[in-house]
Amino acid sequence: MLTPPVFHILLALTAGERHGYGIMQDVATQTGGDLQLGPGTLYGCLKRMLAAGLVEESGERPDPELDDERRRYYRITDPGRRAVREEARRMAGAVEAARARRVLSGRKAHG
Amino acid sequence: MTPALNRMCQVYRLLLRAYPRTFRETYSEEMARVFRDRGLEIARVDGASGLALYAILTSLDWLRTVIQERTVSMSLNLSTLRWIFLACLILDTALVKRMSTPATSTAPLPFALLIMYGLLVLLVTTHRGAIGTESSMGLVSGAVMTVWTTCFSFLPANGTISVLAGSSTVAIIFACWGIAGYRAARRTGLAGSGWLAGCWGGLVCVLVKVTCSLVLSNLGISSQSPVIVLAVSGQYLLEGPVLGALFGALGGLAARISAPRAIVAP
Repeated sequence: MLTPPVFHILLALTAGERHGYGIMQDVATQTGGDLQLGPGTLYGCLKRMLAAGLVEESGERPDPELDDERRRYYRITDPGRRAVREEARRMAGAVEAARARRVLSGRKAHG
Repeated sequence: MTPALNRMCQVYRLLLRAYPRTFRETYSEEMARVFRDRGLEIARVDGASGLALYAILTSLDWLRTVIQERTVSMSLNLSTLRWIFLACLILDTALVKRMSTPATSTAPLPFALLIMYGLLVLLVTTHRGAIGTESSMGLVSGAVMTVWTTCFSFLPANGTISVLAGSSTVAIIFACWGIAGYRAARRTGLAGSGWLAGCWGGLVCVLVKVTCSLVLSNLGISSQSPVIVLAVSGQYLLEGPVLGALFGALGGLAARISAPRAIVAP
């Protein structure tokens, strides 16, 4: 089971290599702004994910869209891709179960 | 970049020094850059009010992750911890024996030490409890307690500085035990694990304190007489785990209230 920050970071990296700020923006977009990763959370997760072999560094280079500073890029590994796929399947199963029990149907509980 | 954001970036760079050295060396440049980039975006979209909220949220993120990274870096591996405890046991027993005189009643102390260390070694060896956080919180609170009580002996007993420093030290120690309980409860999803974590933190704390007191007394640095050191050490050994359990339980309760469901740590 992956934690929400780890899951969303992996999901961001499935679209291609990203630097730290790129990952942060992608996660905010994926979650509609519900999950805003702070720098400490982002790099703490990346450190653990690097140690677990879920992601790897892919060198430093400037981002042409931002500035000419060199940034460290990260990419997802095969184990990382498997982990995010398994987690997505698990979540899809949970949503199906919720739908089957009509948790998701009807009016919203609050407003 | 606005002057406000510029100042925030400078402060954030200073705050980054609180992370463990290896983490800081690897990520602090990137973190500072990410902080600046996000700040620029917020300043452009939301203005000053957005930046103020950003500063608060980032401060909370900083505090939480500093504790987390410090905890990880202080999570001594089990083998190291076991050898440290055994070395302390031998050292403390030798020091107590050296300080004992016919006039001092120290009979319960070596036995208390032996039982306490035995319990610690058992906990470490059998991997029971959550070793990392609670040990680090115990070590931190023990270090704070030792520094304070050593300084206390050189300060006027009823001075304002003494009272303020004493109160804040006690608050830090109790907070450390509460944090240990809170983190254990958050990790396991069980409020009841808080008291055990706090008890462990209290145990480690008093063992650090007792060992330092005995060493300082034998070196002649402490202004307290050996009789008082021995008596106070025995008292600490009894009080530490009990108070640790109490504040750990409160931490566990706080975790339960703030996050009623089980949360799996990253």
